[in-house]
Amino acid sequence: MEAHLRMDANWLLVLLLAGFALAPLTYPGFVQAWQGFAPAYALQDLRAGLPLGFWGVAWPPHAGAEGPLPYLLSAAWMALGASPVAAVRWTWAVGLLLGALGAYAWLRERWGPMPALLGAVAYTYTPYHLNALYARGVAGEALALGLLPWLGWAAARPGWKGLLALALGLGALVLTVPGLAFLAAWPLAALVALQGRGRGRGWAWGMLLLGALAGAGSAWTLAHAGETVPFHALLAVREPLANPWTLGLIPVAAWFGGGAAWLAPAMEPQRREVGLWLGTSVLGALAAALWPGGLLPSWTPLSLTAWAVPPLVGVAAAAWPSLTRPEVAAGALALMVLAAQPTLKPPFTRLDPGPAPLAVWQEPGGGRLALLQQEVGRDAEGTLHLDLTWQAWGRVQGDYTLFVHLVGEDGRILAQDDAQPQGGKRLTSGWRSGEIVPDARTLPLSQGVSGPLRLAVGWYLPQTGERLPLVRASLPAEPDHRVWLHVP
Amino acid sequence: MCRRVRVDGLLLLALGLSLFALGPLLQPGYFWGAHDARHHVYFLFEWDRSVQEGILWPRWSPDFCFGYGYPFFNIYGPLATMIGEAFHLLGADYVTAVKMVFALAILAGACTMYGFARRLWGPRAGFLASVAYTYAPYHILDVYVRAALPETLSLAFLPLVLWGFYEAVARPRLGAVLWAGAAYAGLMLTSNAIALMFTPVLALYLAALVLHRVLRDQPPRAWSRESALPLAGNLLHVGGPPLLGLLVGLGLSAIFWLPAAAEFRYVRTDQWYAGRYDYRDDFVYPFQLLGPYWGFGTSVAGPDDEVSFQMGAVPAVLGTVALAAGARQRRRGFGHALFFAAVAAGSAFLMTWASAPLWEALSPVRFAQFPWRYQTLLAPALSLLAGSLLAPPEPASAPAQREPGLAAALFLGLLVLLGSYPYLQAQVVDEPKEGPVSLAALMRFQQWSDEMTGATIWTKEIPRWSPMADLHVAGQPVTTLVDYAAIPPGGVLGVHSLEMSSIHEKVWVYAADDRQEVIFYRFYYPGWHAYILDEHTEEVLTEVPIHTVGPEGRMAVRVPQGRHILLLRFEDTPVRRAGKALSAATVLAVLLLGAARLLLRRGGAR
Repeated sequence: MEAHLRMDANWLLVLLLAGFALAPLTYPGFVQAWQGFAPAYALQDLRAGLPLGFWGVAWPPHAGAEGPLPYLLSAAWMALGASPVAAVRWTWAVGLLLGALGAYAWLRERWGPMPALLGAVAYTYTPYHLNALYARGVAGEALALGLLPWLGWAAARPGWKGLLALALGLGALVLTVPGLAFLAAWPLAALVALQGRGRGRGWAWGMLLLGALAGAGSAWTLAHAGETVPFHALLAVREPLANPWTLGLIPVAAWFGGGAAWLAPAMEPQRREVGLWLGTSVLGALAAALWPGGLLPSWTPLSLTAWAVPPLVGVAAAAWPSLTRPEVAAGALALMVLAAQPTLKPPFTRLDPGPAPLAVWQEPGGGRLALLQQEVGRDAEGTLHLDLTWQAWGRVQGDYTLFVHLVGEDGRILAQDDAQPQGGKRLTSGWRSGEIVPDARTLPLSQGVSGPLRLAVGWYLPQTGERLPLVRASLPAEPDHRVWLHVP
Repeated sequence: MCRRVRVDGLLLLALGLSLFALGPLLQPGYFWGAHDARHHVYFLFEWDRSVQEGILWPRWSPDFCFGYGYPFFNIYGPLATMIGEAFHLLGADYVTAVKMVFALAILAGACTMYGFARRLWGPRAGFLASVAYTYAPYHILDVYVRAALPETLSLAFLPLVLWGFYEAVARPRLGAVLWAGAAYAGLMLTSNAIALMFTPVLALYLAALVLHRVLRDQPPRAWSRESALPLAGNLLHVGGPPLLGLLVGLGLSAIFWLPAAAEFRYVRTDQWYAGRYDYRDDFVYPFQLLGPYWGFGTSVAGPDDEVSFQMGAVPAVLGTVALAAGARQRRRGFGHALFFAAVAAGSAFLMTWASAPLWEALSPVRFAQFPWRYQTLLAPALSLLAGSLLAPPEPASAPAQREPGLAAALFLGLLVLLGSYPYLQAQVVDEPKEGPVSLAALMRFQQWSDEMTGATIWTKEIPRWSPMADLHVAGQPVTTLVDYAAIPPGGVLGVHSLEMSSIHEKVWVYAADDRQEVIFYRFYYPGWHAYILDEHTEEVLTEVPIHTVGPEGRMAVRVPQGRHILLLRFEDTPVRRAGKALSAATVLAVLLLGAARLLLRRGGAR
């Protein structure tokens, strides 16, 4: 088979049909996904020469989370004039488009243009794929899911060009989500071994060796026990922000389609390959549900399930050519887009996150409370009005109380307000990760108060009075986990 | 001769499927909270008030702006209200009549879209286009969120107009010309704004049809100096019937559009185009066009609108694939699909910020008032494009190509329905907060909403209330519009109202000198005239000028010394008379042509 990307109208169709998936990225702001503004802050840290580790996008020593590639790409967008949140959005867009085009390129030469179109669109609208952007808001996986189909494409290339493409692709994946690269190497190795017949045993054995190494790496990342994805979450239909792990209709339909193709006599020559992708897909889902993650988030194997969608859809379309008739294919494509609708209306925010959060507190369980914005005003009667904007990162388990201290020149507390956010209406344990939560406070000033005033804020657990540790601050901070707000 | 009526199963099926779209209308109550829901009930209320007074083509709505009145139907397409009035006269209450017009518009839209798409690409394409049109999100939004009655009805006319003009080019005959003209007139009488937005599209479509036909008959390679005259003749032959259809349409609707065009400048438009109606605040972001958002709020500045402007995922996907499939395979009528794809793309463009320079530079673009209103063109174009997916292959195409089957049509139709099903909801309430439909409720509605408070250009300050509103709310009749408080003390002016209707008032007047004037709680607008009548015989002695007073621009008439009767009356202006005459002449010509055709046919049959 000739190794080049042949152009046809379906390339354009793949891009056009990806429009619905890309649409939320045209919002002039950012999504309130699980990661909140963390990717934008990590990007600015990278540009400032700071390590990415604080955001959980650790590059060495951790291999389980995110590598620097998505942030380097975002930094390039910033160099072209994009704002930090726009740069992250553009990187997500690149990931989505890369994935769609990669899936088409991969399947087109294997199964033909129409099965490839169906497979590419199915991949674009796979819930796990979209939820990586719009529910979890992760930069690494968003780009990694764009790279995976190109690995499939590269694995099908003969000769040194294929080897080079595969090496480059794997390298990029390692720099994006290292743990996923370990996992992906397994099916890749098997695929090359399957397709390597007639290309030389050395190539196949080399890939198997790579697979074994990858397996060892995978085992290492999985050895650090963590939480699994609840099995019911894989099949449950809930709001994407509440359950971004749902398999959704597309992968399940791909299982049925691929399974039927596996049984079809006409597909006998491709049975091993179909079996490989069926196995990858099912094992990916089972791994997420059964194997505790650790350094690698437990849901990462679901990327493999998503990755297997295009070949399974493609082989099903190839097995039954009537599925590729325009009116039938159009219906299938519309169904895919329709099935993805719930994931395509994330909550947005137009808040400007600034170069860094003003302060971040972290509870022992890992949940963080980030102060994004503060405004202090004083009315004619001298009452101080304080508007604070918060964002939760991760699941906050405790119901914390926010204290606001008005401190005089001599260090005495002149007034204070201790209360749970929004007068107890929004307990911190109920904050959804990534949600923007405003909180307003007022502090009446007693007469005769003069001189420079200072405002300090912090969190504590009301049951014990223990303060929540302050882990990062761009505002002036004290060792007792308070930060000083700007007072005009 | 008895012609057998053929039952079109797919049309019946399309109509049957549209029942889901009618569902919320069949509920008791009404979606009072929808944007213009109250407006259309009260437009009908006002129209009916005039009809009850014997005015068959009302132009003046007496209770707008707290009873100061407004020439609403002089500038606003009245057909939807006229149909509502017919239902009302048949016994439906105002609200039910409005709901019936909505239902009729939905069903009519399904039929006209079916007919046109069927004509282009066959019945299966007609079915799919019809369902896609009925369930186009903007169509649903127009009914249940915006409650835009004329716009919903105009959506029924758009395919009918295209179909009529297509017939006038494809099979030029008198019937097609009259059909095209009547459909265009219907559109103009329903919504002049939509007609103005749509006419350039229609012109382009006609130009494309005519050119295609002419170039087919005489390809450019066969052109020569000798062929110029036949070419011009052919151009006239092919282009004549649609042009005639357009003239018939303009003639039939002249009763409305001629005065509207001439006298629109006498109403304040800042209320409709500035402030919260500034088009710059209503551009649509791409995520709104493609995203599955829905809501019952309003359009606000910025991207956080509480209302949906989505084009609909399913018709968009079907349309996109149809375009690709049509380009790849040789399908019947692909040129039409290409044209409608261009209309869809152009409409989408005009909704976005990218088109802002066009909005600034070209005033016709601003006829839409809001950028998102170009959905009115996008929805039919996209529905037609989606329908073209089921166009049969060209007879000369490869034999391997099969015509799309009935099962595919049904599957895709149901898919379209499924895509829009979550949006088929209305916020139905039993009774609005201002109370049941009445003059008192109308006044209260105007007060709390600041709606239906249109004014003429002589009004500098829009009233917030009025003495008439006080009377209405108190349940008392308004028997005069004379401002008695403005009568000077000392017995120099005596006024006594004798009779009044929505468009006139007759008052007995005594003036001690020539400097006295009678002031009315009425906005001035061309067509208002004041006459001095003989006190005993009521013969017109002279016409006296009207001037305006106060920040409200109320009418005031200076009366001559002595005892008289002053008649203030709203009449037709010359341009209104010309419009009426033109429409009457066109109707007469159409009837004569129809009769002549009938006679010729009968003669031929013998």
